[in-house]
Amino acid sequence: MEAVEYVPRPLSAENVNIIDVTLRDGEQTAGVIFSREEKLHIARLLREIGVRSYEVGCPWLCAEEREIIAAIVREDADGPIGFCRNRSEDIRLAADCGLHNVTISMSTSDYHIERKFGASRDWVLDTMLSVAREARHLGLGFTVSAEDASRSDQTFLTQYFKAALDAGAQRVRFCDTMGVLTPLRTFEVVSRLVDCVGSAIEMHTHNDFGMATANAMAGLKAGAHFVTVSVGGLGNSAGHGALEEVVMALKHLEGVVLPIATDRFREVAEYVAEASARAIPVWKAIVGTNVFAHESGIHADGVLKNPKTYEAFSPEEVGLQRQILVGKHSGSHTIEHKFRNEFGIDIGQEEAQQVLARARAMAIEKKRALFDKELMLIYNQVCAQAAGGGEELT
Amino acid sequence: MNQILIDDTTLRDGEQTAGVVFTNEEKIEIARVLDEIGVHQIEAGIPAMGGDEKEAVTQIAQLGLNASVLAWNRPVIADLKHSIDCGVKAVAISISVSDIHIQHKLRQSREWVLEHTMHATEFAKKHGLYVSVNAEDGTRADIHFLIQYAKAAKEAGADRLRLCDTIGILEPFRTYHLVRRLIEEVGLDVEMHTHNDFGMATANALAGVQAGAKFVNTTVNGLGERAGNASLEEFVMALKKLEGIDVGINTARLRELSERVARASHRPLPANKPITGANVFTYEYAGRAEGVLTDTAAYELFHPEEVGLERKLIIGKYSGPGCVQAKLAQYRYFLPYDEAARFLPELQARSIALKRSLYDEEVVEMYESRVNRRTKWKL
Repeated sequence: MEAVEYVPRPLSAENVNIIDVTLRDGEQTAGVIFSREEKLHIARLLREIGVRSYEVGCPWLCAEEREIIAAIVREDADGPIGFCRNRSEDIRLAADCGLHNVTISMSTSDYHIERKFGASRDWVLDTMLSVAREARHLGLGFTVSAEDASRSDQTFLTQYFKAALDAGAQRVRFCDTMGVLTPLRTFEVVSRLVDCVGSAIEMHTHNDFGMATANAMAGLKAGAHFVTVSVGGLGNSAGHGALEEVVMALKHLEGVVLPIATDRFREVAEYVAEASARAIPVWKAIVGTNVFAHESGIHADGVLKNPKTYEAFSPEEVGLQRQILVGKHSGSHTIEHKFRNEFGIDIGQEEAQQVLARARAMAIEKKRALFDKELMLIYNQVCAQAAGGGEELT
Repeated sequence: MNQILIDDTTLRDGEQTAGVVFTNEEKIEIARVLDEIGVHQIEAGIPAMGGDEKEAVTQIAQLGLNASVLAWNRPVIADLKHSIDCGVKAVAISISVSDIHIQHKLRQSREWVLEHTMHATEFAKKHGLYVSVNAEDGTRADIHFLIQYAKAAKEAGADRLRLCDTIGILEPFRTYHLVRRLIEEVGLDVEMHTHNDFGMATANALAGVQAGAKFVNTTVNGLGERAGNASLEEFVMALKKLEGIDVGINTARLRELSERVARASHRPLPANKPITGANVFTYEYAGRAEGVLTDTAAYELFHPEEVGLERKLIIGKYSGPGCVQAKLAQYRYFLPYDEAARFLPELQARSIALKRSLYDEEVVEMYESRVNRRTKWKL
């Protein structure tokens, strides 16, 4: 691989704008449906934590959806965005819901243009412009989205974005619909686009190869000023760039602090998990319960001496708690610490070794970490033996 | 960038995950499948833990696998002796190199770290072992010390340097620059070991490879401490599909492998897990479903069979008339488009009322009773 210099642009909080799509792309996930109350509540949670713009649904889908959208708009006029296809009728239905903002979505890859629409690039441009005219005519703010942008001819994509911005679009959305980008490629592609059309570009990345968050960040580093995310990365296929990952990566890896209440991330993720019937994996980055659970001797011991040894940020920052588990990989320091700090028992070094040996055996037998009760049972056994009882408690 | 080798650590870093314990039978079974699908090296465990763990590493080393079997060690001679007992031919020798770890966890000096690493590496080389020297928390280390450490390891005979992003704080651009600098200044092969704390483990592993790293330490399903590691299936498929590099893994068994590890770790595979999640090839939203029905390449970069999955179409709130036509055609009911469009709102309403997508049986039953109703009405 030839040596390339990647020099990212400096990021600042003013230049990063979050648009959440949990209620639209998130709900579009195969098998996921939110109830009316859930949609309203998720919209409220998003506003409360500081998300100012969010897609709320597809006004063209059905009467129930329009009714829900209208209810959200009654609570917040400017934040909600309606997702529209390349039809003027969709725009009119969005306006009927009282929406002030819409996304106009069309595919720009030749693949989609030819096989999905059976049409031409000219047709795409003309159609987009006529739908944009309708939005302007109805006084709606609009974003023009390029579906499958990452597989599009980049010259045509630039032309499409320019035309959209000239027609009054607030911004243009770059969709990596199939998640085929890598961060380095994202950077190259978006840098070129920013040079041609400016920074009113919105990154919309999918997680098919596990790189949605990294690609979203690469787009921002290349100069895009907007990024779409969803709670927990909920979305079509393997999902999206996750709200909590992007916001925390900005904060801790780039030093860009957005005015978002990160300490409610776990709470919001839990609500969306419940509503979408998709449990948060315990190892989910940022909000999984295992992220601050330490078992292995080396890690737990390090964290007990100084949490910064194995934690990039403290659990409270995202609404989680640190846990010290005792299991197969535990060390005796962990046992001593756990007994002293959690159970108020000053356990000696030798006792700790004995407890550890039994705890490890039990963890292997039960194929999991131990509950506190089980640890206490082991401790009682060790004490009874030391007292010369010899007989094991059961 | 052609000779990329996978060193899978599901059995070591994966099992080290808080709450996860594999039985020895599970370990052997996982090692066999990793070997069968073509993983190049298997990190089997930590012999110094003794007991069951040492036994498992010994058994895996004796399986006669094509893959190299590697055991994890601290830079301690006693640890290495345990590994030698197990009969492995390769070892990882691991120690922290960041000042925060050296001062707060090890409570030692940089010199102590260098000395112990060199001593242990020389010992291992003298016993004919292949050595991967691990720079734990290497991404938070002073870069000058990291380079010094890598040079010392090389001088002591190490075969490669494992760069550990222990707490997952890399991002791809920093990764790229760091790995290039390490390779240029040290000239030792680099192995990427990345964590997913900010969701970037796979992207960082790939950026490392793009910068010249030749080895990648993965785990199945990304199992690992906290938010986990770079996942085997994501990395292998990204390399194959996005960079055009086939590392020779039989990807058709990835789903099976994911399921085995999910079972053994008691961690169900999320439906949206990249590459092997059940939902990755499941379609409901008309925009996507109808695109795929016309031509799968509209929304798929590869066929589901390539990773051992199947394509599924489900009917729900977001379906379109084309989806309804296709679903009923699977049950030999062929509806005209207009008829499907008239039937659709009924299906959507049911799906919304149930707050889930519909089972095929429900769709067929609703269609049949709709036809019956109409027939009666006509009579």
